[in-house]
Amino acid sequence: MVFLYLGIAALVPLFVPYEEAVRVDLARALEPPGGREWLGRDELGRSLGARLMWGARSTLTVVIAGVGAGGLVGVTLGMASGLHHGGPADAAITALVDALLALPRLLVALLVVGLVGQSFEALIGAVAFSSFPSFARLARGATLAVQQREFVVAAVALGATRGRILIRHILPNVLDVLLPYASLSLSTAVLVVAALGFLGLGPPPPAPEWGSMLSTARSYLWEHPHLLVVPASAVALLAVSLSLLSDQFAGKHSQGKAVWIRPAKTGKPAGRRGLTDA
Amino acid sequence: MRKCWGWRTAVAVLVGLSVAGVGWSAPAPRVLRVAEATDVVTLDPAFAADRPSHSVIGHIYERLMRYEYDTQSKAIRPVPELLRRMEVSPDGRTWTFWLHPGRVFSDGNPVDAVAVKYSLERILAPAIGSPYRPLLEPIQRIEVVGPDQLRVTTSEPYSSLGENLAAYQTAVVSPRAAGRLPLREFGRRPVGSGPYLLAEWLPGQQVVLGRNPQFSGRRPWADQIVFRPIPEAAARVVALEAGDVEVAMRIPAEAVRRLEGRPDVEILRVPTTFQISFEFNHRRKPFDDPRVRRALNLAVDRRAIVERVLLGAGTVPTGPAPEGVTYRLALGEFRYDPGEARRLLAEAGYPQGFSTVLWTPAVRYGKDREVAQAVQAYLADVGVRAEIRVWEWGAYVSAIARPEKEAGLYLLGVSIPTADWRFYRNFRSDAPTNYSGYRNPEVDQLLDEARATTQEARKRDLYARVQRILWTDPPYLFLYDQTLLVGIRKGVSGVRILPIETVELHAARAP
Amino acid sequence: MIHFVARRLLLAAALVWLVVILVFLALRIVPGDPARLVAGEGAGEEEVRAVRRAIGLDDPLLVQLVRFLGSALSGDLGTSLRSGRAVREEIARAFPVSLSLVGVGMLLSGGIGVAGGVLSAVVAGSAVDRVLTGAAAVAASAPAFLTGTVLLVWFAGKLRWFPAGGFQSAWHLALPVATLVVSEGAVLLRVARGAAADVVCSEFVRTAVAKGLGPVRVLCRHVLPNVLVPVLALCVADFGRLLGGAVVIESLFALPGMGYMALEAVRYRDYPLLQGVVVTLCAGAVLAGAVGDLVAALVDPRLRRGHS
Repeated sequence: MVFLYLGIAALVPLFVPYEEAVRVDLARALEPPGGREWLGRDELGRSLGARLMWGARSTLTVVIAGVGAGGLVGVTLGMASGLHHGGPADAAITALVDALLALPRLLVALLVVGLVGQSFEALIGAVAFSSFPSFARLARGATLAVQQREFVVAAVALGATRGRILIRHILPNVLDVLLPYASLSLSTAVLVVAALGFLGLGPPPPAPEWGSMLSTARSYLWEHPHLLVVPASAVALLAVSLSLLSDQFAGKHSQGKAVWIRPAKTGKPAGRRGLTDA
Repeated sequence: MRKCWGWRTAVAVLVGLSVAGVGWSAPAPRVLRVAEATDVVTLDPAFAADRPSHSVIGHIYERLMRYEYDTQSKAIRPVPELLRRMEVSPDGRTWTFWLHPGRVFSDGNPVDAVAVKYSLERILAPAIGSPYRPLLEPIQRIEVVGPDQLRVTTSEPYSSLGENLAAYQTAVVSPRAAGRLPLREFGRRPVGSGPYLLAEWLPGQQVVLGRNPQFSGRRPWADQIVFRPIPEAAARVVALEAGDVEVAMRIPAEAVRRLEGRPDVEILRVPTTFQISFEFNHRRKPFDDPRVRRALNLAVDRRAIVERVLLGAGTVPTGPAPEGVTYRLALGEFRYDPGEARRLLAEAGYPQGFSTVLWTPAVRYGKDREVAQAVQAYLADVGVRAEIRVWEWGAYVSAIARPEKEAGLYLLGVSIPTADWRFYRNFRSDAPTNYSGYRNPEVDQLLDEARATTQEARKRDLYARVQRILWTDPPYLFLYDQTLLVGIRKGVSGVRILPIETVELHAARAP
Repeated sequence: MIHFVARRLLLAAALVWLVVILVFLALRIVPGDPARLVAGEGAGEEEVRAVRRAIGLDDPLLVQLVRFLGSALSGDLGTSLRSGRAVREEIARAFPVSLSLVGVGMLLSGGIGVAGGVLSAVVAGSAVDRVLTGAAAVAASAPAFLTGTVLLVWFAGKLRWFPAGGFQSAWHLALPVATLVVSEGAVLLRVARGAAADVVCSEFVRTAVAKGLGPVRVLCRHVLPNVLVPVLALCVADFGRLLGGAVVIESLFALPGMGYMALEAVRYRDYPLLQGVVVTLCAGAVLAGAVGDLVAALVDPRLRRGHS
């Protein structure tokens, strides 16, 4: 499913000319789905279908880059903090992250725009900046929880090096907790982009972008819901498919059931990273 | 003894019952609630710039004159409020004002010539720093000639003084109150002579007005008026539908169809003095060429924009001043003629069109970005490739004030209801707020003369000539005149909405 | 543990001030002139200059900074450029509104998220799990204005169960809190599920079950602490973020909270108010973080000592 999205984003120029996404046709403004335009037309008469597909490119780029950068920075900081729990590094990082996460997003974006100018990069930067603190905090929490677990303690006792413990034991378990959050972050990042649109951040109009499509659709909610439903469904679908993807990657879903309902029949050893793996 | 006791008890019971009866049948307070889009900012007339503040000021204070909308001539007219009589000397430099005697402020002090002098001088004082100084700037001297009479002398003839005295900013304040309180505080504890006074102000939540017992004019129906800021348009509509408010300002056009079907709600469409245009940057080629400017004005289908983008919340302009502005002239719509536009552009030396940059603020004027994109498309049709740049309002305001700005055209609206102030500030060659760089010595001369002359007919003629010039050689790409949509619950009558987008409830009543 | 928290708080205090100073400087660099915005559209250069002088922006940067820091240390955060009221007063009015909204909202979201997440992990792979996970994903990606508007129009407009906005009673908070819970609860559910799924299949849980411990006991002693620590961390982070970030909900339901105030302050370049808001929000978030860590230590005794 996710690959469908990425595929569309990458290949759309081959199938749908850009013109389609930006051609204004006021006479047909706000046309509901049906007929030639199977997703309807927006407030300026542009094809929602074309805008959706072309929008995938800018939106996915910004959102993946932004959350990716934010996530990377956040997880690194969070794990560093968690691993040194109680030490000065932990205190410093946590305090800094807490202070920064409280800054109103709009203010941050304004400062970013003011200093860097209105550009795609600024938008990605603003998204990254507003997402990294939550990642950091979550990663720290996950690291704290994991490092107390028996298999980690055992691994330490058995003399495994710090690096090995980190990569083989702590990181994967932390990712278990983080991945669902990261996948959701991508879709909430679209909403962040929508909110920042009014600072002029983002592709200059009339370039299509899901976030800005969502924010303009706001006023037409009652009379012409298709304006909102189309991009919102795309975002929701993205969230759901990413969610499924992250679950598969974690590979847990068929295991848990076994423990609870039939404790006697355990079959395959549960937990990829139990004591046996040390 | 028993008999007396019985009597007394009976009397007591009767008295008790009647008091209780009165209590029970005492009418509920008459309240009118208005939902606004933004909160009141300040109630100090010298500083108030936004509509909700003006609306409240209109209920708490009185002015020498006030604006009335004449449905026949479709113009705003200044009519006397505190003024009993006004005389201007033939040379236009000396004005004598007579006030209605006997009025008092809510703090008991008299509304006399001293108070008026104080209020006007307050706006002029550089120490106070009112941004509305230019309105009264030509005033040289104000003298109190009698308890209800004052004389104002201006440095040069300034015939617009009369109409400017109807502006909310010139409301008469109580000298005792204003003098006693620190400047910023007076805006929160106003003292005026209007029918209401400020009972409570919970910022962000509500402004409650109660009756002013000292008011000597006609008593309004409402005991209490509440102004509630509800920023989200959808929420205002819900509040109106649910009956939480009697009046909801700024209904979005998208909600109108749904509301018009309801029997308990009525929609008022008020033409406003707010006109939105793309100002051309005359300092940048090719916008200094009148053919190019005219061509671009012909290239845009305003009717389609008003109907399809604004969903009817606007009208196509018929002149550089919309309905409601004093001395305005209806000169006919610009037609939509892209063929002629292309021809003019070719004649001006741009057969292939040209590239330019178009600026628009975001979330400032209703559908600013949508309108900008529609215009971009129309310009593209005649070969003008405009790149859009969206600005956040705070940065925009500073950016457009810079003479060397990169924009070829930028979106801006004007809502001033009086001809002198409105044309002067935008079109006079060296006016500090003339951001476009428009220079026309003929217009300058006409405006100066209109300001100086005291003869009505001559004034009308001069402004007519100014408007004709501005319409045949347009300095802007005039787009649309905004229509204000207001929702009122059925049964509520007498609500007056002025074309300057303020609400007056002096004559309003609810069932 | 206490020692650690105390050290954290001290460091945090210093950092909050650093952030404030940085914001102070950055604001002055950003385009946009508060004097011009206060003076309004009718004002010319001279009037703008006069206003600038009146609001104290005429002095050199260093003087302004020192003045601000000086008065801030004594509790005076300055005067709002736009309203003329003391910044402290404005914040004192808006903070409780946001606090109630976000406080109640996060509590409910946390409860629902953890309950739903653990349940989902326990029956992982079943229809219940798939429905919950899918619904959570959709709910989390739904824009707040959509959820909020739908709730507003249905429950306040059509059914008239709740008032349409404002902040006059606890009842007024119901719909805004519900809007918040829909998205936050969904996110927390997914995170909780991730953490729970990670633990539920592990050795010690299986051991506990094999030993014959009832499922509830297993849950409380083993699963819950592992779930609560990261969930709490996120709760705390989001609490801090939402205190000043619930702008959409606040503006939709006409709640005069910190988020909306910050938005207006940014729009009008109301420097003193913005600086005051930043100080309050940062301090609030840091405090919330410290509280969160203390609670986590309570929940999971292993966290009480510093560990490396």
